[in-house]
This record gives sequence, structure tokens and C-alpha cells, in this order.
Amino acid sequence: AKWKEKMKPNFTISNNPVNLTKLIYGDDLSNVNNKNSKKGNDQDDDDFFTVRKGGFSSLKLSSDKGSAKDALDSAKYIHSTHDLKSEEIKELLKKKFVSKGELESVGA
Amino acid sequence: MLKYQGSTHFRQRVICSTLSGKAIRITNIRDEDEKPGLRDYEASFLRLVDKITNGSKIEINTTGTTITYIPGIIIGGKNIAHDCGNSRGIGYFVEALICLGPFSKTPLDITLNGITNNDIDLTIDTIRTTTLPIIRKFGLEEGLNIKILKRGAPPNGGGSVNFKCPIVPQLKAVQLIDEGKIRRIRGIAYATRISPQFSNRVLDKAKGILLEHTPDVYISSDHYKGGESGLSPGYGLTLVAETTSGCCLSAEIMSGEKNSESPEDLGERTAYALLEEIANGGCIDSHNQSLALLFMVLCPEDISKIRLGRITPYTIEFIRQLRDFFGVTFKIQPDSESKTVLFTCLGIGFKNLARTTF
Repeated sequence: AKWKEKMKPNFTISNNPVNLTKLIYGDDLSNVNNKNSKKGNDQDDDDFFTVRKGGFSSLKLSSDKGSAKDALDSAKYIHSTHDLKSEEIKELLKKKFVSKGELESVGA
Repeated sequence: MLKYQGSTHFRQRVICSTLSGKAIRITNIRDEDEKPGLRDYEASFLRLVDKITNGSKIEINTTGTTITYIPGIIIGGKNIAHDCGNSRGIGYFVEALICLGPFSKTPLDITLNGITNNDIDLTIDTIRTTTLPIIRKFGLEEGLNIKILKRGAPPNGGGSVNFKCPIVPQLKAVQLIDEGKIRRIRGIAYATRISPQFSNRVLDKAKGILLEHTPDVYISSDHYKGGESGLSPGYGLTLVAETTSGCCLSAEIMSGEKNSESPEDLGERTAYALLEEIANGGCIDSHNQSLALLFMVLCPEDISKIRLGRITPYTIEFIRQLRDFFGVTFKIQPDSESKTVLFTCLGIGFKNLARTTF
């Protein structure tokens, strides 16, 4: 359908693993920074500082191409909210903490 | 002269311009807004930059939609006072001072008045517990201090903070690759002009969640009353997770002006925000990514390497600004195993030419 075509990203991440250098420095996402766009005024909060605090659900990435956020999300290296109650994250968190035995060895 | 449009990343641009010595011109600042031009906090920020620099030239048009900034020398100085207003927190201003202060002519000793804890900017607690330890790794050790003289919650503020920053001839290159494991969690639950019960309830809830992950959790309750409590009631929680490799990850949530959530909800949200930071990984938390990258660029001509968790849009834009102002491009390597990103760069060998003794 036409709307599906419209929703398609206008660019793809060509390299696997993700080429973050291209994502960040490349022209594809030049609109994200609003540097050359009047959309800069949409962000009334001076900058993305609001995004830095209290979760990241308010992530705003405006792009004329409408696909920047999708591409960034797919990169998995850009901030997005975790489902902290999912089993996957619970397992991940377990690995991130020192276990009780290790705690004694580090002198805590 | 570098030219930009729009109101976003205003502070980043002024900071980079001051450090690099490159003039900037920003046009179309909220030109289609009902209230066009610079906001009061942005004007206040420019006044602060003017106070700590010498020879800088700031030109703003009548509507405030265009600004030209020609940077001067950072002079620093003692006994400087600045009223930050009540639109943004003191953290908004301190973050810029942390970037500029080390490269001033004389050590900076400044007192800032306004809101110490709000839900938009970094709070002074986070700056003290997380940001300052990070910049100490770059060689700023003695004399770096931030002290809360009075707490100030929104909307009326009334807080006061003293910030002291030493000067350095040059920063030190760093290698922060090992993120380690979380060994302990510390925190401060504060309450001003309200019952200490609020901070205790926040503390209890957050501690309950965090104890599921580690037994070493200590959150202190900080209750302010009388002259030290500012002009408005408020409460909040700041948490810091310390790793075995000496890295600090932080999360914080403050009660908002129109926030009706219960202290328990706030405590829960903060605990989960910290767990989210931990899940993201990296040696630097998301709040301080940009600061670490800036200092990497300003390091001597040596390789600096840092492991970051998921990068924020703010950081992405900052990386671009660093390329514009300093001509530095990072080598960015995603680590698919840990879902972290390794940033490597060669410092530009930035020297503090403003300082009086060589």
C-alpha cells in the first residue's frame, strides 16, 4: 500500500555490524541535529537535556525524512527505554552486579 | 565564523565557541514562536559567560532571534556571584562552568543562586557525586569542589551553590574501557520545606527495589529546614552506582512543580532509572557522555579511549559540534557483545594559554 511505501526508511544501514560512524557523521541523519532546518525551533528546551533525565521515552528526533528514529532505534546503540521487567534485562542486570562471593573479595 | 540556525544546542555551541576561539552566529532563534528570541535562561547564561570571560563580544538583535558571539579569554576569578533565575536549574549553568573553568586565567570560585534540584537539568547532587569524579580522571584533582549552601526547589528556588574549579595547564589522556561490575549503590533523598517523611518514603521504596540486586545499598536522607531550605517545597532522590573499576553511574528524579505522584512512585521510578543506566553499561552514564567526549578532544596529543553505553541524541549532536569546532572525528566502534560503544580520538593538545604562570 502507498502508506507502507511512505513509512519505509529512505535509507538503510548498509554495514553489519552497524556503522555508527556513518550514522553519526553521515549526511543521512543531518536533519536530526536541526542544524540547517527551522525545525530547531520545535525543541523549545534549548537542547536534548530533557531527554537525558528521567527515562528516554520523550526521545525526539525530527527528520524531514521521517525515518531517522527508526534507523537509530535499529542501531541499538542509541538511547531507548528498556523493558526492565523482561527476562532478558533481568538476566543482563544479574551479570552487571557483583555477586555475594565477589563482594567479599572486593572488600565491601 | 560558524553559522547555525534554531534554538537547539545553544549552550553546546557557546561552550565550544569559547574553547575553540571560533566565533558563531545563530539565526532564526524561535523566530516562528509566539514569544520569539532567546529565553531568559539563555540570556542569563550569556551574562554568566560574559562574567567569566574578558574580551568576548555578544551581539543580540532587538527581537533576540539572532545572536553573534565572538569569544574572548576565560578569566575565571573569585567572589563571582550569579543569579540563575528560576527557569532552569543551577546545574544548567554549572555544567558549562565545568567545561570552561579548567581553562581560565585564575581558578574559578563562583556562587550561583537559583534552583538546585529540578526535573530538567542535572542536579547539584549528581554533579557532585558523578560529574566531578569523571573530570578528576582527566587531571583536575585538587581544589575541585561544589557545595550546596542552600537547597532550592522549583518554582521559587532560593537555593545557593558554591562552585570552585582549579586551572590546569593541560588535561590528561584517559583510557576508560573497563566498566567493571556494580559493587555498591549510594544515594541521597532530600526534602525541603516539607515533612522528612517524604524523603523517607522515597528512600524506602527505592531501597527495596535495589536490594533485590545488591545488598550494599545505602541511601541517606537529607532534610532541610529554616534558612537552608529555599523558598519552595520539594523532594527528590539521587542514586549513584559505583563499579569495581571506579566508574559511577547515576540516576535522579525530582518532584516536579505540577507533579502529583506519590513519594513511593518517585522512589520506584528513580530505582528503575538507575537500573536502566546499569543495563545500558559503559564507564560513563548518559548524563555525562558529552562532557567526557569534550575533555577527550581537549586532551594532549595522545589517544584517549572511553566505553560508553547507549549514546543519547544530545551526545550525537555534541559529537558533530566537536567536529565543527575542533575538527576532531571520533573512531566509533560498537561492541555487539556488551552493546556498548568504544570512542577513540586523538586529543588536539589544547593548552590553557590564559593562565598567568607558565
